[in-house]
Amino acid sequence: MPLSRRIQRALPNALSIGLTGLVMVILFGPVMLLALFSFNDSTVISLPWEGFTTKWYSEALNDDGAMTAIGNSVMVASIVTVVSLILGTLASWGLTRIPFRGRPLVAGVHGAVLVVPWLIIGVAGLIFFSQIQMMLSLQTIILMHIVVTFPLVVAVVSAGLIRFNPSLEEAAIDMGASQLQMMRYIVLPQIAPSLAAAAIFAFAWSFNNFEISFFTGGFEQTFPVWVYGVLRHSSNLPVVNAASTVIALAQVLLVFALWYGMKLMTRRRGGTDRDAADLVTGAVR
Amino acid sequence: MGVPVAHVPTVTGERPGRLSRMLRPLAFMSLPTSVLVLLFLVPMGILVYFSFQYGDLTGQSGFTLTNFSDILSDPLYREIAWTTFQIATIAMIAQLIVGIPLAYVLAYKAGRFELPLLLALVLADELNPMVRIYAWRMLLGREGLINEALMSIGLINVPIDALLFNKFSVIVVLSTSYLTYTVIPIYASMKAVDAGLFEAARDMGAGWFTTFRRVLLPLIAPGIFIALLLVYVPLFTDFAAPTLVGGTTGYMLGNVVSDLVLENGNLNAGAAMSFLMLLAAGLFSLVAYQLSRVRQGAR
Amino acid sequence: MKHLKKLTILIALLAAIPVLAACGSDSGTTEEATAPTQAEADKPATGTLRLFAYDDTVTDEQLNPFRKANPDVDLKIATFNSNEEAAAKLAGGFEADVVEVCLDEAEPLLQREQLRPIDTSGITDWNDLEFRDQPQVRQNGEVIMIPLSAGPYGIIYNTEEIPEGVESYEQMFSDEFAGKIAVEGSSSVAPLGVAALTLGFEDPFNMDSEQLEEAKQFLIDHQDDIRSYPDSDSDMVNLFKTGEVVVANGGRGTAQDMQAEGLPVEWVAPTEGTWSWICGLGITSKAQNTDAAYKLLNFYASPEAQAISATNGFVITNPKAEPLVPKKYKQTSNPASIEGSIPLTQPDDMAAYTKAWQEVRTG
Repeated sequence: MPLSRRIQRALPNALSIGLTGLVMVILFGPVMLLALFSFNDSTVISLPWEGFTTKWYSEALNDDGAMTAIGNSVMVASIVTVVSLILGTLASWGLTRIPFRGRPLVAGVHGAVLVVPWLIIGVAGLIFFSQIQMMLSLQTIILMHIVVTFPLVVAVVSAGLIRFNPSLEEAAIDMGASQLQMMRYIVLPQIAPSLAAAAIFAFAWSFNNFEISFFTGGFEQTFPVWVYGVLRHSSNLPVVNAASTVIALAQVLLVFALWYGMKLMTRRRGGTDRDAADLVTGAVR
Repeated sequence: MGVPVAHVPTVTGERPGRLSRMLRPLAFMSLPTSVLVLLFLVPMGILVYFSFQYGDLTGQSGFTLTNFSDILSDPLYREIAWTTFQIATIAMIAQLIVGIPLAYVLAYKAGRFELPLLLALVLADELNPMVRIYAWRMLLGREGLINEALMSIGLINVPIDALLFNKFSVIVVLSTSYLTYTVIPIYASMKAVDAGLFEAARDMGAGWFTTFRRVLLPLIAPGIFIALLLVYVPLFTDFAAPTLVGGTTGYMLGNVVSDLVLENGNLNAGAAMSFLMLLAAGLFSLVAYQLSRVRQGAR
Repeated sequence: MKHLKKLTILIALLAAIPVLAACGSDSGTTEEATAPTQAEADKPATGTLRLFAYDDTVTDEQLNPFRKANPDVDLKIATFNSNEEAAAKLAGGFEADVVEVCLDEAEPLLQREQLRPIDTSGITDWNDLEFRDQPQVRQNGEVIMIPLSAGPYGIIYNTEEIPEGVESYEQMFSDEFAGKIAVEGSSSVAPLGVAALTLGFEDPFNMDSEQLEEAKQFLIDHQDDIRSYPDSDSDMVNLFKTGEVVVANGGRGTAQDMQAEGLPVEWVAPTEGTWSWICGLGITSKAQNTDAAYKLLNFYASPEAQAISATNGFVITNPKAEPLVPKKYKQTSNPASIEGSIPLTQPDDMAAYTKAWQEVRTG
């Protein structure tokens, strides 16, 4: 093969690697920097390097406010994830498998939630709760988080359902399976990757949400609300940074554990890596 | 986001009875829909009601259209809208320029790295956004890493001030913080395309650009549509990035809403502004949806 | 997406019904809360007490003596990052018993009748408190907040970069520091106020429209000299630490924060004049536990609590606390240190200020 042809062939690969590498550096460079600087013995995240320390981590661990806020956020995000998955799956099934009048309208409302700014939803929620005289608390945060998060689950899961041919479901019913059995053995395994992806996004949305949590929250703080409060004083920045790094690390571990579990599951059923890829894309095909 | 509504036949083999035809949608849809009505439509309805009012919750109030006419007639808001449009559009285009090839690489070239790379992309989205913006300042600043690096290799003698605190840095920060949501829908729509199509196109003598424009682009149009909704629309309402890295420029519509609501305590004007933005988002979605359908239909 | 069109119709329909807003909720009372009697005041507080304040007002260090003295009270705390957020949240219907009020932010709260008059006979140290005669402390002759802390606002500069120092705003905006200036921009009042002082206007917080126009133009003209409009203390500190700016307008407390972190900065009162924020606590109209609220107000005004507040670098308002203040903070906590400062208040025409500031930000 002449050299020019070889270069021509190798070029796309080199370009692919270059592009992917560049994007990863751009996306993770800052994150890595922060992780690195959480060990810097200075109260400001910036150069110069002033020595290695783990004191920000021990301060974060001993900070009651931070720990309570993280605990609250984990609880809120967990409940929101579970409820959103249930509501979202119900709605996806209804929107993709059952014809009914006004379906486009209902689908449109689900979509509309996703384009309204969270600041507006937060303020609207605050006024709403005050009008119905409901005390602001973690519960009101959870309610508003659910309403902005489950439409995302609907989008992800219904995309998975549309790709999947309903004739299998019909066949199962024809062969005498009950509705429940059909759901359990035919539908659930098919949309499991979408559900997993939806779960990751739902948890992240709820966990990182500031605007809605601030306006519809009462006297218990979530982590982002705590962050914005204490960041008023720059001396708190490294503690926040350390806490964020720990949380990011925990999320990395969680996501990869989930991925590994899915991989084992699909392998056992004779699936491929490709099915497992749906875990991330949520099969938005 | 367009929740896909396909033409799907009923699942059960037999034609469902009249009763069950009414009950089955109810069984699935009643709960989610009531949640949406109660916690989304009613609060938003109150807010929209506010946008047609003067005064506030406890004070004097009455019907008015001034909240809207004030905004629409003010050249200042038109200018801010124009700035916002420029920044959001450039950030979106930048993301598509990087995102489409990246999605392509992930979908067809990455091999066994496909999954870890995807997960990495998702994780990039998980870090506290505020803290991430400070990281960008550390990179782009006057004494930041990029300037220090360029100076140490002797490329420049004086640090480049233009890296930070202008529209450029706003666009950089915005593009990178939304890239995950641009790439993943496009990647997903590519996965549904049979790679054999490209071979076929090439066999027929099509160059890469023709293949991209005539074969790939129409097929991934729905993915691009979802990416636009998930990314382009929220770009208009972002206010953290312009505040922290925009310097004296880059004041955007998101800042206007937060200033109206938070600083002036003028809920009515804030509500009117949001309502207008919601309408614009709806209109945009409609157009983008039609375009993505036309593209598909052209196939 | 045809359904979106239908959606807007639905929303419009919903909006046409003056749904819940008409029902209205009871807007609380603006009746004065009777202060507890002496016998009651001596007993520890009970019940739930809801406090809504700045993060640095409600640190554990500050509140632990109160908790110790009142072990049975369930103290619930929510914090805010700016007075604007707090006002928006309260306007939306958030309820608390005691809320931190700064003079520049009292107006929107009063307009919405969210504060109730305070019976000053229930505040032991009332007659000693500094700033108690500021006009904004009273509304229709009734006291609506107890002033507890204050701080002056001037120029912060880097002593290594500018060894000769900066004396005035005029000098700060000179070409010498072009590109290395920060103007604090968390609200419209600070930047426009600085411009007003630089231009020599008497009352930076109630400029007439011509002055406002001039102040606006001043900031626009200096747009290229200003590196950024920092949004918070941490933003400001970060700018100094990273060498982005060498001079800025800012609070003395912020400068002290920076010094504590080893940054070579100095705070000066500019020759054009300074202003000072004054903050305190008020009791909300919806307060349920007024007994405990009075106890908390008394605690914050007490010499013991005031001495703790002084270690934030704030000016304190109870002179009886002076002997308890650590030596390091004696000078900065002394109200004399802000004598002659203009009290920071909210402009009557806030909307005009916001508008002008938006025009500055648009260029």
